[in-house]
Amino acid sequence: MIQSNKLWWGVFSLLAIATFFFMYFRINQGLTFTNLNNIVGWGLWVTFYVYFLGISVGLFLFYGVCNIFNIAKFRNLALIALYSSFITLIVGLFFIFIDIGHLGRFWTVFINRNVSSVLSWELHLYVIYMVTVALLLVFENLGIEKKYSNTESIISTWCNENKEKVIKYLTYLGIPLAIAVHGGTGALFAVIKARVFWNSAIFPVIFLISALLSGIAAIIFLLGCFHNVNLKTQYIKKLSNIFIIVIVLDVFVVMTQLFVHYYSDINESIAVIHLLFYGEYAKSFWIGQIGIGIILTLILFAIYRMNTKGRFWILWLSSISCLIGIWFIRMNFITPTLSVPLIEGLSENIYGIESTNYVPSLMEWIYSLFIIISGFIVYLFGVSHIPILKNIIHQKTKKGDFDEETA
Amino acid sequence: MGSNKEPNQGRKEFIKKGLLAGGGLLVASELIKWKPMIEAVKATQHTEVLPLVETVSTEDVVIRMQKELHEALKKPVEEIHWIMVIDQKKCVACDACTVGCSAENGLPPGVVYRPVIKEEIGTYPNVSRRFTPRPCMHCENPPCTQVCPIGATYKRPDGIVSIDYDKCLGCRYCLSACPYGARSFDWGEYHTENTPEVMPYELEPTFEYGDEKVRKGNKSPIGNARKCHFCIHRLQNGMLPTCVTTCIGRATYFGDLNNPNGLVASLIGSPRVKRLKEKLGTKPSVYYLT
Ligand code: SF4
Ligand code: SF4
Repeated sequence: MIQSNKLWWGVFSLLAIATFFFMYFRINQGLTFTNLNNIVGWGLWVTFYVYFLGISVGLFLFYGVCNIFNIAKFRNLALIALYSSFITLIVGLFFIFIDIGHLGRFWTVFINRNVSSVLSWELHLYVIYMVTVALLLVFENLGIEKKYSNTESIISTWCNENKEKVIKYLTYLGIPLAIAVHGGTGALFAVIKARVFWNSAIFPVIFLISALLSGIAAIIFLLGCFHNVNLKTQYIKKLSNIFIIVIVLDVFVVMTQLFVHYYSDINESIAVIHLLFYGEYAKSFWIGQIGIGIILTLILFAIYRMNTKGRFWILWLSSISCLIGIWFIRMNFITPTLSVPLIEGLSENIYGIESTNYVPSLMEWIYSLFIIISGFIVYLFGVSHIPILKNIIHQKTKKGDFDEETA
Repeated sequence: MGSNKEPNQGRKEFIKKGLLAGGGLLVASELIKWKPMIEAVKATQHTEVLPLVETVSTEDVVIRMQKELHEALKKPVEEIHWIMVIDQKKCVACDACTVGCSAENGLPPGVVYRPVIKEEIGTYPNVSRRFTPRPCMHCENPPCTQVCPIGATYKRPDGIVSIDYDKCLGCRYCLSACPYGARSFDWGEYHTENTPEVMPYELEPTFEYGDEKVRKGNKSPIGNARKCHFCIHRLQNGMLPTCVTTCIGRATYFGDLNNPNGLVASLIGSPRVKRLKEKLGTKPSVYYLT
């Protein structure tokens, strides 16, 4: 990992310049370079927002559970999860930020509240959740390195002394917050009575379960990336057990949603299902959501489990394919619903077309990639500078990691 | 000799008089029989027209709506409830309202406040067409204002759902939430964008919500949610919404529902009346006569 601060200065300067240009272009051009329109008004960026928020919530819940039940063998992994949860949260925030029409007014959501708006609640909870995760990260780092703990103010002494307690209570606060934030994202769509396909009670549940799944998949993915977190095969097996259970749950809730709407045969919702099954979004549904997200994930998983040696990299690939599949679930449950006209003949009248197939524009992809790459750079910086993570990276596999007594 | 002739003469006279008297009697009796008929004919030629009942108005509906508008504007704003009534049988789908509205509010491509939805009904040879102009319904229970995270869109006391352009973030949540597709987002495009020059008429100021605004350089209303506002800026100046005055079929009516003697209140007391998607509980303020 890069340690030289000079190099980091260079990287961040470049990043700042690039961000300046990207933002300049975005502010100048507005949203004209996107393929969004007045029928499909939310697209790639909203999908990424929901996606990263989901991963963050999933990762945090993993950290929370490990923390509360004091599962020592997953301790290192839990700390990585906490940090990753924070970064994905910030990445998600950037996606929602660039998606709005007037970027400069974003902060006003915190002064002009509307109690009846789920989005208003969602954004407030989002910030509280982010602060909680950040505080946890700070407290987890207290006293790890001398230079951070030698200031002898009353506050720092108090913090050092009460570290464990504070972490415990913050975790207690964080878990329901995380659930509320992501359940809230689902509710954002579910409360829209204008869109029959969204307007179902299982919608927020789908969001939550998908978040859990993306969390556990991300954990397996991260486990593959941090070679130093050597988990014993039996613990990896345990992780993979949780992984498969959540996959089954996720498939179940997604199928429930599709089945109920297919069976009910209400014009608007059956139109969404037609778009998914054999309409303009069929590729994204069959290849992305079903093919990669379920079938490929399960095949890889099965190979991993059947292989007596239980090669980890197969499970790792399975987690990646699952993460891709979840992205497709998000995409397929957002834009096709918007593509269905609200009133028969409306879009023909305004746009001369029957329904609108949304395909993200190149610029939308470029912006998305830029945000993700920036997030990745910041992530790497944190990994090489945050004491607890540095510890994990530089440690040799210690015996204590595998103690089972605290499990 | 002369005396001999006299009796003869006398008899002739007698017969003549007798015949005359008989004929006269005959005519008289016929006349008596025909008289009522002749009078009846005469009567039909001079039918007396009763004067119109005073309550029936002979003036053009637009004049009447204009007068009622002025009456309503004298009331405190919370006592008014603006509604629109659209007679689908009178609409000829000329799109004059759509065009008038676009000109009035300087609407960019893709932003249409009041499209006229045209549908074909039935199969040949039993076919007809239905035209549904669709402005914002100015719902009494609007889902769009409910979801706005900052309350930038709100219901005014007179029933108009309006948007504060200087507040709106452009998050487009309201676009997803409106069941009528009545909201659009201003993406910042121009009709004459890919021509050598953006025409000056696209940069003329508009006066929505009574504020002078020029669509330029990403300033509001660019980046905002936009929709029909019943031409608040015209109402404030005692004028009817543009779509009402440009409707050549006289199919669009506008007025105050709280005036029981007003035109719109009388129109919606009809079995032909309906509102769109009523089951959603939005209580639209736009009524259709089907
Ligand atoms: S029609 Fe749509 S935009 Fe208009 S008030 Fe109703 S919900 Fe809001
Ligand atoms: S687009 Fe504007 S009016 Fe609509 S919900 Fe967002 S902030 Fe409110």
